[in-house]
Formats: sequence, structure tokens, C-alpha cells
Amino acid sequence: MIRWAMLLASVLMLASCGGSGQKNIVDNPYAERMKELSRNGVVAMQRERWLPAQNLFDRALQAAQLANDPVLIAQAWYNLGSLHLSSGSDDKGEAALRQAAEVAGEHRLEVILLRTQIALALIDQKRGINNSWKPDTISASMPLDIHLSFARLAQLQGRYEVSLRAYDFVLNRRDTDRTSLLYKINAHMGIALVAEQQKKYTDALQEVEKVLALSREVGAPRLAAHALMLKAKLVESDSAQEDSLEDALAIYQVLEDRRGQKNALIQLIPIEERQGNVSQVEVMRLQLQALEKD
Amino acid sequence: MAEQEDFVSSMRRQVGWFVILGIGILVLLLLVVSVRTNVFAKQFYVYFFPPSASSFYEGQPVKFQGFAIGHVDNIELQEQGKVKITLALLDRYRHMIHEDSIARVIKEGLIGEQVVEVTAGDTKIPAIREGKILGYETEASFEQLLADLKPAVGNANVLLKELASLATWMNDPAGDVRIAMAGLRQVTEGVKGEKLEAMIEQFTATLTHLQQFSKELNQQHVAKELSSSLKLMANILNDLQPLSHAIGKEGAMTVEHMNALMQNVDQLSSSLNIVASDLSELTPELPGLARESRETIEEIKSLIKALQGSWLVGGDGKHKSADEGAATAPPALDFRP
Repeated sequence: MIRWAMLLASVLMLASCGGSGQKNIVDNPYAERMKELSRNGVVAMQRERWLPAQNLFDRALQAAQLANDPVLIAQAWYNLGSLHLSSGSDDKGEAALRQAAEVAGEHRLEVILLRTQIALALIDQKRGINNSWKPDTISASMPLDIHLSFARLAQLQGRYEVSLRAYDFVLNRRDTDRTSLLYKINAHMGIALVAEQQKKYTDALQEVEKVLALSREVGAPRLAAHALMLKAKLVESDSAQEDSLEDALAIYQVLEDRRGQKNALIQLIPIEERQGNVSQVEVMRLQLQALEKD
Repeated sequence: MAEQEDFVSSMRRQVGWFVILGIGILVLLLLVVSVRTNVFAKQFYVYFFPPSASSFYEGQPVKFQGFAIGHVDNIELQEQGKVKITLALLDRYRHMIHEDSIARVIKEGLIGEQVVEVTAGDTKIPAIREGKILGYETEASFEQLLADLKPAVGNANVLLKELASLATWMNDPAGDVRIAMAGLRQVTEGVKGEKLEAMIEQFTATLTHLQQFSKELNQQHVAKELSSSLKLMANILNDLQPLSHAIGKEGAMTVEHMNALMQNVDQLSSSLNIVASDLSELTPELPGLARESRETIEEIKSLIKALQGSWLVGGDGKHKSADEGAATAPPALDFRP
């Protein structure tokens, strides 16, 4: 009897201890809404559904402004900026990133500021402007996406050792959620491109195969198409090149990526010519003309 | 006498001017009001047939490129059960709207009201005629919505698998829950033990049923079953909460189960949110169910968080769920070779 009474007492005690761990804070509904909209925006962005993603991020920004929280406002501007850059609207992307940088700078939001700084430096690189901001390393405590962007920036700046170190850091993290896996696929692709630039073709091919295998697992069609284009450069036989280019072309067509389609066709036509596929060459030339006309 | 006549005629003149001026001002006011409110402006009428009248009301503004160009004049339920909406549009804008224009419902801003938007249509096609039947479009096309639904159903299947494993775990006679319940039942009677046991059995049966549905990919049924199954799960978790400390003590697997479940619940929640927002303008039972499921998922999430928050179940209480802080958009890195 005493034993049961003691057990009951211990259960009651445990119950009271459990309750003490809960926060008694009322959530700001606008902040919660902003977070929810941002999460959904990221999911839409990962599916390359730019319009719904923009709609969600626009509303996330409005919610952040209603919450009047600088962290959320800076984050919302960054998300919008990244979305515009990904969908090809560089000017809009830059404008949104500058807004993010302004809020982050004003409130000393280190993480968002660094994230934004790298994104702006990447725009400079894309425009052929050599950005003078070239740190050798960034803090290990920074989120994975920042390490990945930093690796890509260093790569574009021709600082391959710094770049490879940062890519390795991304690959060595143990996160297994979908977003982290997507970052890891990006890191493999980055390493493949560095290896190709350093003329280490076998290494590049190995990394490309990793990109393709992981893309199949997680679902990253655009990256898979880029990897197939790179594979076509790395393999020697005409038939292997043709297979890769045809697969890449098929993906680009579904994604309506005109630039990708053009590149694939430009490389495919000479191969088909060498193989004497006259009718196919004719069709491809027509496709290319149509793409160049629009 | 002549003076009296002069006075009378002067008074008549004054009264006459007063009346003329009064009428003049009234006419002027009427003119201003009519110009401002388009009361007397020439209008033309067009129609469309949405699946439901739930997003419409008489007098609802009709906009074109953000400008108000008319209003919903009449909403009518026809004999065949079709909803007919009549739009009264200002004739002076007719030349800007073309024959293939479509009507759709849009929301103005985050907390704005819903308005009917009329699109311009193809400028190469002639301007719209009086009495034209417009096409009606939800913000996303139906094909797009169906395409969107598939990943959600896919995610629902992932969740189902996780729920099924949880149900098996709950049902296992040698499992954490059963042992904890058996122990607790000896100590305190009426800790909802029996109710919980019956509920778990019902939950397992529902899941089996649901998995059969999901194989057929009959989306409406899957959504319906998923909704009821989620509700049942919310009830189980609710009843599980008071037992969480004892369960945590009994089984180390609990934390893993909870974390895996949380991850899948998060995934399904995201998909459902997107699908529900896209579907919000459709009237069949699907959007309602999606919304209902989403609400239940929010409830489940808070329950799981509460279970994780317990220092025995969640370990040191330092566990951070994926939804803390705002999600970050993936960086724009063009890896084109």
C-alpha cells in the first residue's frame, strides 16, 4: 500500500515538473503568420512555383511589418530577394536584398546581414564585377545555406581552396532533412565544377554521379539537368554525350528553361550530324531557331 | 396702386429667381453626384457561372487593373442548380475589355476584401459585347490544382506510413504505451486508460481503411478519411498527454517516434497550406476538408510540442522544432556549367 502511495506521489511530482518546462508566452499572431507563410513560400520555391512563392513571401513581409519585428522583416526581405534572383529578376532581387541589408545592419542582425552580403556579392560576380569582399572563412556556427553561398562565391572569385573547404563543411554536416540534402547536392555540383575547372575530370565525373543519384532521391530536376550537361562535357564517347544531353534537354523542356534548351541543342546538333541523323538535325535546328527567335 | 403692382411684380421676380436658382443647384448637385457615383452612367451587363456563390454578394466591386469599373448586379440560382452572376460594368471601359476576358475573385492585400476582377483579354480580339458570358477562373486553374494535389496526397501517404507505425507501436502489447498504461491503471483508475485503448484500436482500423483509399488515389475520399483520421489522432494525443511522463520513462524510442512524427506532420502541414490556399476558391468539399485537416494538424503539432516539451519525453527540453524562427529561402546559386 505504501509502495503504491509512493508511486502515485512520484507520478504527481513528475507531472508538476513537466509543466514547469512550458513557456508561458503569448505568441504574436502576425509573427506566427509570417513564419507559416515563409515556410510555405520556401516549399513553393523548392518546387520552382515562383508565383505562389512570391505571393506567400509578399504576404509574409506584410505580416512581418504588422508584427513590427526587425528580424522577421529582414528575413522576409531576404526571402523575397532570393526568390526574385532564383526566378531571374535580378534587379528586383537586388532591391529586396538591399532592404534586408538595411534592416539587418540597423539592428545588428549578424546572420541575415552576412547572408545578404554574400547574395549581393554573388550578384556582382554574375555581372562581372569582382567584389572586393573576400573573407577566407566564416564562422562554423552560421547556418548551412550561408556556408553553401560562401562556397559558391569563393568559387566564382577563383578561390578554389576556400571554396572546396566550405563545400566540404556543407557535406560534413549531419542534417538529413530535405533542405539540407538539397544543399548537399548543390555542394557536390559545386565541387564537380571546381574539379572541372582544375581539369580533374575523373573527380568531376564522380561528383556529377553523386549529384544525379541524390537528385533522383530528393527531387532536384534543374540541378540534375545542369549535372547532365556537365557530364556530357566529361564523358568521351558520342553516344554517352548524346544520352546525357538528351536527358538534360528533356528536363529543360519540362522546366521551360529556354537557356538550358538552347545550350543542350547547340551541343547536340554536331553530335547528331556526326552520326548522320539528318532528319533529327533538321528538327533540332528548327527548335533552336524558334528558341532564338523568341 | 402702381407702387403696389411694382412691389408684387418685384416679389414675383425674386421668388422666380429663388425657385430657378434652387432648381439649378439641385440639378447641379444631381449632376455631380451622378458623375461621381456613375448612377446615370451608361452600363452594360455581362454574366458568368461560378461553381458557387459563396464568394460573391450584390454590390461587390468589380475591378479592372485595380480600378473599380462596376459591381455585381445580381446573383441568381438557376433551375439546374447553376449560379449565374450578372456584372454591371461601365460602358466607357468596354473598349478595354475583350471578348475572351475572364472573371475571377481576388483578395485585395492581406486583410482586404474579396473583389471580382475582370481581365483585359486578348487585345487583338474585338471588345466585349453586351450580354457576353465570361469564363470564370479561380486564381489557379483546375488542372494546376489537381497537379498540386498530387504531392499533397503523396505527402499524406508519407504521413500515413508514419501514423501506421505509430499505431503499431501504440498497439504493441509489449510496447511503451501499453506497459505504461498497464502500470498506471494499477495505480490510478480512470486515467482514460480504457478510453485510450479503444481509441487506439479505432485509430488503427481507420488507418487500414485509409490506406486502402489512398491506394486508389481517390483524392476526395482520401482527404475526407485523412481529416477524420487526423481528428482521431488529435484525440489520442490529447489523452496521451497526461501519460507522457510515464511513457517517456518506459521507452527510449518515444523521442524518436515523436520527432519523426513531428517532421512528417510539418511536411504535410506545408503541402496542405499551399493546396488549401490554391483551393480556397473552389466550392466542393475538398478545400473545406483540406482546411479542416490543416487546423487539426496545427492542433496535433501543438500537442506533439507539448509532449516533446515534457522533460522526460523530450530529454533535456532543449529540442528545437523545425518551425522555430522564419524559414529561409534557398540561396539563388546558378550552377549552370
